[in-house]
Amino acid sequence: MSTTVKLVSGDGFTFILDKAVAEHSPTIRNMLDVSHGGAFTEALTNEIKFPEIKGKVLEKVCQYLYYKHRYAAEGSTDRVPEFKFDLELSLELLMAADYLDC
Amino acid sequence: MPLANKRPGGRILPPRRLIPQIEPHQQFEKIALAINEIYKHNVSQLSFEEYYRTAYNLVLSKNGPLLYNSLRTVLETHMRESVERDILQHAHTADSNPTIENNEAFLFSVRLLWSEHVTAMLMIKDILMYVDNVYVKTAHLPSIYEMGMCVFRDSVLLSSTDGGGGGLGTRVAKAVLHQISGERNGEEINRSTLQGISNMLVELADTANPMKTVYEVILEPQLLSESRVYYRDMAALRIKTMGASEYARAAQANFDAEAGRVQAYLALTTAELLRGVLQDELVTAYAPDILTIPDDGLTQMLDRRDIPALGVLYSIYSPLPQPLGILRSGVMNHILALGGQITASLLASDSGEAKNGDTPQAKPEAAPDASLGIAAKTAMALRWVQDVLALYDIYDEFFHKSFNEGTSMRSAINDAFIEVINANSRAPELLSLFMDDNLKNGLKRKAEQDVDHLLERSVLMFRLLKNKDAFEHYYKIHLARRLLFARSESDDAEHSLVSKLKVECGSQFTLKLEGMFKDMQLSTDMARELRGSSEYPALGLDLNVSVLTPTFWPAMAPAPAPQSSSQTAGEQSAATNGKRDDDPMSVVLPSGVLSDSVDAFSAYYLKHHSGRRLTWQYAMGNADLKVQFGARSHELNVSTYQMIILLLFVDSDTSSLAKALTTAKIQTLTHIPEEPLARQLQSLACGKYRILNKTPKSRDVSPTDSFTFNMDFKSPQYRIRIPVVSARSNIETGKEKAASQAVIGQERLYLIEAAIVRIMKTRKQMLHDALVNETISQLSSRFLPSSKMIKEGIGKLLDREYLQRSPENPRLYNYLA
Repeated sequence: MSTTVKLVSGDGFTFILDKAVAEHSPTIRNMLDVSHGGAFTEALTNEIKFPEIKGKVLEKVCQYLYYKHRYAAEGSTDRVPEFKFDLELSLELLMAADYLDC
Repeated sequence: MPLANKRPGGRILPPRRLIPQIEPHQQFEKIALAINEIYKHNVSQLSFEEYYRTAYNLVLSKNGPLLYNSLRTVLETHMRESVERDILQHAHTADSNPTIENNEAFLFSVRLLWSEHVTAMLMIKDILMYVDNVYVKTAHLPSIYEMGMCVFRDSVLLSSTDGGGGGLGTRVAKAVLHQISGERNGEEINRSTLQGISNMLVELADTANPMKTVYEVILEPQLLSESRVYYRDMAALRIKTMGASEYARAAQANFDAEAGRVQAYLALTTAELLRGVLQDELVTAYAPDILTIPDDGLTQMLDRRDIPALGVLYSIYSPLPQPLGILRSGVMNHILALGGQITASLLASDSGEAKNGDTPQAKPEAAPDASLGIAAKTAMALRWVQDVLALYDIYDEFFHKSFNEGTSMRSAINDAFIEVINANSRAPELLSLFMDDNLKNGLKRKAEQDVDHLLERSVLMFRLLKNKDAFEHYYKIHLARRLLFARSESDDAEHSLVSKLKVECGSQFTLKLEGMFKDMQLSTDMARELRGSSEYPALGLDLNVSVLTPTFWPAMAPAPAPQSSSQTAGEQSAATNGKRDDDPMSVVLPSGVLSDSVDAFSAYYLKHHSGRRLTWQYAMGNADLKVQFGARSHELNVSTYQMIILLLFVDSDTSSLAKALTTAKIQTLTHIPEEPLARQLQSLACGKYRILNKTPKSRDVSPTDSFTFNMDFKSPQYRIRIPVVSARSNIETGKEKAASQAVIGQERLYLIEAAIVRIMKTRKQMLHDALVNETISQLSSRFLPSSKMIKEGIGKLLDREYLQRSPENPRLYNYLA
């Protein structure tokens, strides 16, 4: 079973992430979930298409997921640095965050 | 995501839709199709993202209510269709022909639909997570999964799809109950189907009362009431056909089976309730009847010593207070009956052969005083203790092995034995006699742990004894005899027994007993010193004296005395034993060596212990005499009294041993009291060894009988022991018993008065009833004083002005210092 997952943006950009990282988004986690006895296409192909998210935004999302993976670990005492992004993307990022529940 | 103002002047781009808006109904259509695919197990052809996004867009475009309600309709339709297609036919078959198989098929189809529905709902809930998170939460609706559960409940279980048989849920319950009753009757059923059904019913909340599950509403009550009827009938049948042990085992099997059933496929909450039903119907309803099943009830189980069956019986009775009480009293009554028989057989033998032994109500006081058969009677007395202890052993085993060491059974057994033991008014005497017998004769033949067990059991009986003071009275007498006649076999056993009694009753109780041991020790030490001293030759014979402190030792009224043993080179030897006592020294010793020896000892003793007074007790002594009979000589072991009597025949005239003396004359010469004298003469002249000749020849001794020395006495043995009546510890005759009672009664009166004074000294003022109760509780460890005796004690103390009635209240006493 693959340990990575491919995320594809609406404008055709592809991002490959560790599954464990990608699953910081509950939405993605549910998409890949097979515990109920049935697997959706995404879980079978390990590829998720997001037609409504642009590559630029999805890239930032991926960065954020790694950022979260790095610092959200329980018991971590590291100082959490600021997560930087372009202000002009902020509304689109907000939408994506809501969609991905992260 | 935190915002960063990297470029403060930058323009924030509005989110741009990549896909044009579609009509909401069309969007939901997509979801409805997906749901159908999910139910058809075609998940793998669906893109999660697509439906998630669709739902997301619907919610964003404020179409949440449409989505939610449409979803419900879709689910309802699906459920209805599934029921019609997959379940109804099975329901009808099961209804018209309720076999195990048909019910199984019906239940299986319901369970299958349920498990598929649950799986589908879990996926649907995931796809529609955004709806749950955003719309459902703000609209305060049941979550999508919960809604799906309600749909199942309402569209499947509560659907009344046709006439007859009610809703499907009711039919499910009916089928489950049918399966259970099939299983109870030994049929094979598929437990896992039932387990699935139970889980389903437990998971669903009831419509009317959301705090209850559907299981609790449609299945559990029916299950309990059906079980009740089933076991009620069963118990009614069994009680007529089964013995108690069989009944108990069958009931236990039912308990186990039902517990297993609940464990396997019912809700755990049912376990307690179902057990309650079984307890009601199988145990409580017949609690007394089971125990009294004719020919095979509790009595027979106890008599058979059926430990496993009693264990089963106890395990089904013990959780229930009322049946446990019935079992308790059943066991108690049986102990009382058996104990009563043991006591009755003792009393029967006690009342003499005249009554042929089958009148148990005969009173022991009526026992004839005849010495005839007294040994047999003593043996019977020992048997009583032995039998009671053996009975106790049996019940102790029940207690440990059958009754799970439950405290209520312990107290039942003990209470019963207290009653058995104390119902026999001679119990204190018999117990002491039993200990006496074992310490004298029994121990050698037994292993150490047997001795321990025996002592422990004796002490146990002592614990159950109410009249501990009476026991002390007898124990002192018996101990005194053991010590003075050196009849005890083991000092260790003696001391161990006393220390056990001490544990039971405190040092106060054993103070005197320990004093007795101490006196013996001191006497031995003194004898050793005396032997080494210059005064020893003055004794003239081998004199062994035990010096006893009168307060420790029993008043030796009926057969009292001191003891000694000595030997001279001459033809007679004597032994005497002294005792400090207040009684005047009445018996006259023959003058000569013997009285000189006694005087010499007195002088020696008083020289070393000034301020004391020695009183000689001859009744308890014994002596070794060397006697010449014609050509042969024998060594006779006789009591001190017998020695004194025999010496009369020697000293008066050395040449003629043939002179005759009457009983009356002997008494005048010796001052030996009439009764012991008659007994001593009897053992000398009428026993196995006839040292004296009596005229006329008869068993009884009268004052006018005359005695001569039997020069023709012959015996193959050199050393002869003349049996001494008083040296044996026998059961008391009626007269002796009355005397003991008087002694004990007097002692009790003193104890009561002392207790009253002690209480009043601290309380100063007390009401009559309170004083009586307090006195009883203070003395209960020794005996149970009657309120009449206490009243008497109070009266005496009033007379002697220790107490005074309060002027205001005649029921109130004041203590006068």
